Amino acid sequence: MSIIDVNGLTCDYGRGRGVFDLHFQVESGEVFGFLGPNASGKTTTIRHLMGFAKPASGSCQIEGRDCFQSAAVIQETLGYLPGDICLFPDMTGRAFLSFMSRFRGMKHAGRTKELTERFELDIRQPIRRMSKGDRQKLALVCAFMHDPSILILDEPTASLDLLMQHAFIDLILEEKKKGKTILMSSHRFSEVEKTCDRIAILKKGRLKTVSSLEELRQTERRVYVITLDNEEAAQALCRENISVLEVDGRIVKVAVYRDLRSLLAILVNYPVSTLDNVGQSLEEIFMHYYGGEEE
Amino acid sequence: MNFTLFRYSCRKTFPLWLIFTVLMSLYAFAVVRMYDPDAGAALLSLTESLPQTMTILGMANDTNTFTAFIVNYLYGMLMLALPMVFTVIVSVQLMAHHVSNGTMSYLLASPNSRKRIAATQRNVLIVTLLLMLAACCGVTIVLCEYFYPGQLDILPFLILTACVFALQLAFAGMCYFFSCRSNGTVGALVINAGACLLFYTIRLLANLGGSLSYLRFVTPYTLINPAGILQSDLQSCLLPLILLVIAVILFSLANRSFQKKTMPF
Repeated sequence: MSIIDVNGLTCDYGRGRGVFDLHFQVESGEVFGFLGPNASGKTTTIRHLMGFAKPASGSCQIEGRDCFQSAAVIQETLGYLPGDICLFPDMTGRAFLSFMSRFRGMKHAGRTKELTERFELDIRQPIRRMSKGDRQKLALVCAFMHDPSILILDEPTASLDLLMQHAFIDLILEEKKKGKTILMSSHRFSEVEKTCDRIAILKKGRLKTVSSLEELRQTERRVYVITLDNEEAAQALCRENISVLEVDGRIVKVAVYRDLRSLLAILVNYPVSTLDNVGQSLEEIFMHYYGGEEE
Repeated sequence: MNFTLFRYSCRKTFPLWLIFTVLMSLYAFAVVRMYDPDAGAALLSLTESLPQTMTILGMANDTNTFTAFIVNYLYGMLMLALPMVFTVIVSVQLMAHHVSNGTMSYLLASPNSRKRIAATQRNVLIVTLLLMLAACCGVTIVLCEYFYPGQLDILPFLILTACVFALQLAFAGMCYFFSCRSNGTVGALVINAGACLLFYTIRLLANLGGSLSYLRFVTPYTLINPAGILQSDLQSCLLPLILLVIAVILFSLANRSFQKKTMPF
């Protein structure tokens, strides 16, 4: 049985905003990345998983329980990091963590000490005086302190510096080893690349793809810049059966979908002076989905 | 009920509670010190010369006895209005404020159901109101006993205070209901203050008598008849039970509304 099961989730806010007919599952022990441009419906989906909103149609289930009806039971084993960090401004960090642990019914402070040390967080200061990064760290500690088996994290590293982003990635990898199920939305490709098993890409409230990193890499497109000896050769090359992105005088930009051999076979017949690979990262694949034309 | 949240909310409400309780106690002190059979006669002549003004303010009842005097000036206006203002502010602070600034997301992201969170905050509102009226009632009794020993009919006074508490509970139910439905602090404050002010104005208009006297049927204040309660009139003592029923219904509706609500965060 899947831990998280989203089945036909729809929530229409009008003017094309919301989420429409989402279907995806997150399996036990999986780290699931949730990506998409702004206003693509990531947070809306998470709000439904948290039971903050009732689906207009379709269903959301966590461990077989309806997310809206059984929110309190689900929350016993769930850790949540909101996208908007709105902590209790009148408390200190320590008071907030202590309040949350008692509010959750925890018998002791759980992982609070270990996590505050890991994120180098000073919990003595009042929350209203904390920097954005410190608030994010405090929210992270709050999400992990009761050692939940399922984690839902909405842009967990949005305000963290590079060092703390690494600390966060290490934490996620450790949790993954322990068999935790994690769903996280993110804008940072590096952290998704390092942590996620599968990735869902949302655009305008619809799922563009749900695939593993491996599958994404297989569809990976590489871009080569070919400089030829003269413009005539460049023009002739463009007429070949290859995917030309751009021609600029003697320079031709070509996209290759994992079939470099056929490109090389063609190039043998041309006066090629240089052949450069324009780095194609996972980021560019995402950009392809993010900015892709409408179907 | 969640005791951690209950304690936190009580602590947060305490400064406001203290201000209102002190204000009401000072007013009670002023009223008790005001009593003086001669001054009573002066106030009686004031009532005779300005009958309409005193009626509108709800201070035109028979003030022959000490208890009637205290009740008339204490529960005539300020002791009804101040707890209402407190209810308007605190009900919004307990629910709509948490939803508006997003801290409710932390309260809901815990093994506490919406029902339990709403019940906890409701209990904070009821308990603080109860303690406020109890404190003021206690202070009044102590002051009366100190300055005019044995003159206050304590039992009718306590029953009347209980009835006023029932009235405040009905208002608290209404304010809490609007607070549970609202997503914004300002919106909830405006609706609550507007609704309370409306009922209070209707009461003032109904007190005018004449063609507007039918208005007394649309304000819950009518269910409290201090003169009747002081005379231990059974009907006057039982009518406030309707206020309790209204309060129970409104609090249940508030709870239901909060459980079904789609949060804005």
